[in-house]
Amino acid sequence: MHVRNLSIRVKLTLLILFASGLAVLLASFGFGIYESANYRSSAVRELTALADTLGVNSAASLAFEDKKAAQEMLGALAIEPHVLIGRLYDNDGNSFAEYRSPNCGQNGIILSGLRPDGAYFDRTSLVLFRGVLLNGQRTGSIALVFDLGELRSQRLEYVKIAALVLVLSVLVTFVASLRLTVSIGAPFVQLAAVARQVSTEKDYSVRAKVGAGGEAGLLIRSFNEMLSQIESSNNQLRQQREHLEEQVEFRTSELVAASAELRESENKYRVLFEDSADAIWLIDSKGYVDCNSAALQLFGFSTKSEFTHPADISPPNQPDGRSSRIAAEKRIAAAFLKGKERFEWLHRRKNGELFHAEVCLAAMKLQGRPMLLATVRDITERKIAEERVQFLAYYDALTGLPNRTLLEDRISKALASARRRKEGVAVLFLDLDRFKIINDTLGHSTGDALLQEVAARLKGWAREQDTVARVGGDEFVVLLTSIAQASDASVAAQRVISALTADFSVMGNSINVTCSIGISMFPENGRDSEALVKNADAAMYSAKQKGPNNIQFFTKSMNDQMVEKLTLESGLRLALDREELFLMYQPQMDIATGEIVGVEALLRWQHPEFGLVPPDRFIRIAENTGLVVPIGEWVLRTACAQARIWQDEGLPGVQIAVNVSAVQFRQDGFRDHIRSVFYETGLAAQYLELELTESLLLSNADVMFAVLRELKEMGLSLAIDDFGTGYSSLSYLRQFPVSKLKIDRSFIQDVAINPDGAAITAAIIGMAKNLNLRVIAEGVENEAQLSFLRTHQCDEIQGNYFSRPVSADKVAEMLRGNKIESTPSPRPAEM
Amino acid sequence: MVLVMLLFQAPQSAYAQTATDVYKVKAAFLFHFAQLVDWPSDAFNSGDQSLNLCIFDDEPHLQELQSALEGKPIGTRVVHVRRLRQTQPLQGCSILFLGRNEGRRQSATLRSLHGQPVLTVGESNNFLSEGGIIRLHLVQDKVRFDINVGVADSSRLKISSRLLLLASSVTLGDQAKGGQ
Repeated sequence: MHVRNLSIRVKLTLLILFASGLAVLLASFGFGIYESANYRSSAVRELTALADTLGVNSAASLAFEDKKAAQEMLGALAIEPHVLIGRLYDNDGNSFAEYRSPNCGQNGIILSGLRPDGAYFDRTSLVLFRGVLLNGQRTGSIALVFDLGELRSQRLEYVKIAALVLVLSVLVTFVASLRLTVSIGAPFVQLAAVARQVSTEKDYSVRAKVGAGGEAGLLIRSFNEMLSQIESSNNQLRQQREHLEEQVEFRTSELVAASAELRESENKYRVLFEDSADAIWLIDSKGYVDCNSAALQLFGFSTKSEFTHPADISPPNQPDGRSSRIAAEKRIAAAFLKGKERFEWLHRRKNGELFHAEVCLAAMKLQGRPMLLATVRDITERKIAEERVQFLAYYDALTGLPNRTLLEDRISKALASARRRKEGVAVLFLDLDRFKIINDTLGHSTGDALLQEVAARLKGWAREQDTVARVGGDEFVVLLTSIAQASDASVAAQRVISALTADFSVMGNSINVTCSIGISMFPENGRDSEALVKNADAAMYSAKQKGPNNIQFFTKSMNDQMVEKLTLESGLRLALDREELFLMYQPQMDIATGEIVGVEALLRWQHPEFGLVPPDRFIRIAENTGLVVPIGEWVLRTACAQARIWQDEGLPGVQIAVNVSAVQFRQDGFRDHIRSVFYETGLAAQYLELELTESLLLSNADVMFAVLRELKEMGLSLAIDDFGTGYSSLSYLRQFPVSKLKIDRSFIQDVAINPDGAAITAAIIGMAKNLNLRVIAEGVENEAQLSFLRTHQCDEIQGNYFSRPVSADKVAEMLRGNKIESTPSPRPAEM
Repeated sequence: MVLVMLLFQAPQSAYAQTATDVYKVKAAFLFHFAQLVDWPSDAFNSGDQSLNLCIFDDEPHLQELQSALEGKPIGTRVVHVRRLRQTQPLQGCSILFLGRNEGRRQSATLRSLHGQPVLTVGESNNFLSEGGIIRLHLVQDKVRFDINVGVADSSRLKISSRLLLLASSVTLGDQAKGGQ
């Protein structure tokens, strides 16, 4: 019988017996080897001690060749029963004396000649050779033969004991393993019996008894659970079968009723399909099957038979270049595969008109055939809106020119290509001169229309590869590529100016436009878009200061100016708090009486670094940054307070003139502010004169009219500043409640030397008189100008000829001695 | 090394001994005596590393003895053979060898050495009775020796029991009169 076929109990028993027998054998063997080695080493140890003792005692007899004494010494070995032979050798290796034990003869042991010192084992004996020393010097050798017979008999004893232990342990193990295997095997025997019962009787309700814990118990419990599950699923299956049979019966009766309903609902769906507002198609794998009337309408067809394939109602190619026929078939296949497909499609109406549509394909089954229901919706408007959003991100909405974002992109591309081709690139920064005034005087809509016209001219002028962009209100940038030298750029800039020279006709106005152009060159003036635009801007700023229609190339010093401008700008923000601003006052004289009738408050800025900053430089900055509002309020309050101080000092009351900027004037709280100034300073309204520019009055004239009227009602007076520089006519200005006109200094400069200038000035004075306006001339520098003005009956003068702007104390002094100053003496012409 | 070999060769030729061979054996005996005898600590001059073996220069076998023993090491010391003239004092001798033909000189010499730590070795029959310590003689052509332990004691010499065990006879009495 093969071991594999043995029962588990026998297998276990055999295994345990084998293991325990092997353990006893190994232990005995190991112990025997250990004992034997132990015996041998102790024999060597004992024999060595014996040999040394004999050696010491017989050393002298060897030295003195006294064989008898040596023999006697060896005789002492008689008391050592296991020493068979003792022999002394002299230094020449000859036997010197010998002892033989009585046992020696029967063992037949012989001792051969002298060997090197050490222990020599053979089967029956141990031979030890040692040196014999006399006071450290060798006088010979000793050899002892030790009988190992005892070791052999001891070994035999061990074997007997080991055999006995082996037999005993096998017996004990056998009895123990019998009991153990019965306890392990019993559950399996039981399981096997139960399993047999289940398989023969098909009865899943029997259970095995759980008698043990551990793995056997777990196995029985699992087996029982398995039986329970089989039993319950068996029951379920039976129940389901019964249920199904009922269902089939029920369904059959239902279907009969349903087929009648179905016919009715089909009619209902047909109506829904036909009357849907969305265009709907039915498509099968070959093409169109059916469509509703909305679809016919959408595409302008009259009958359904006019088209069979989506390609029939599409252009040959879609916007991405794919063939419409192939793309449509791909979409249809995908919809059949995925069940649903939604995408955008370019369709074509019967009349050839194209439109964007959103198409939704949904797979379905109709009378057993796979079909697609296609819904088509016109999304032209949504598409347009999207494109508009896209456009606005990169283009300026007003002019349609690229905006700053797209410009930077174009510049970067141009620079990359210029680097490769070792070419130059020029950036022209163009700013319209006095556009603000046009905007203020003619209104924003006119300004916008003008910008569109300018953009159109620039676009018409530019080459294909150039980019014209709008980067700010009236700021344009022209990017010129493939520039060989700087003169190319300056020629181009000159042509830009010429292109803008002809008058623009905008909303019934004929407008003359000049501009300032700054040029920066790549690679000389900057290596990226930001630097090039910034530097062109700086160059433009410099060009602007040189007058209209000027072109400037960027230079390093411009950059410095730009930096200075920015420094001033940041300095101005702090100037109020740091009390760097102060007022000077320029007296105004009545020509007829020679008396001081008023003073104009003039703003001055003492910069800690740049010293006294000229007003025309920082006022522009203040206007551009909005700082003009708080500064203006400060000027107004300070000037009014000063006027009140003079009055409190008992000086004759004079009007104080204060300039008001357009930005300030447009502030909602401007009137309230003026009221609060009067309240705080205690100055009577009649002593304040506000100086307004023409352009300010003309922008948004309706609102201005109301505001000015209200101001006038408060009791203060209004004057028009810088008259003659704007576009307004006197008759137009008459509508405003203005009481004084201030002729711009540029006319006064001309009166004595230029007949035209003199004529204009005379005409202005004359017309003002007609309108009952007082006239004051600004910037009077000399006697000639004064006498001209006196001749033409100008009312008042202001200028260095009479008095430069002076401090408040100086004004007080002059007021005290009023009339004394009425015969002015020449003064240096200086602001 | 040559000396050592000579020393060990001595017994090998014991069957055909010439006078020279016998004295080679005797020289070996003298060497082993020195090994097995302890001298008192005051027996040697401090700083002297030699163990002086004194032999009268008229001794016929002086040459053999000297060549066999000169320079041999004993413990920390080295054997030095000193030739004595007749009248020369015996100071500095650790061993005194007196040959067979000493006659009257022997008894006078031994008397003068009474109580001195000098190992006396002689060959004459009356050597021990005249106050010598070890006497060499031949038994069946083999060299043997007798020891007078009494004289050794009075000379403050300690003789190893191993030497005593090998002596043919051991005399306890101090035959030399005038001792304690």
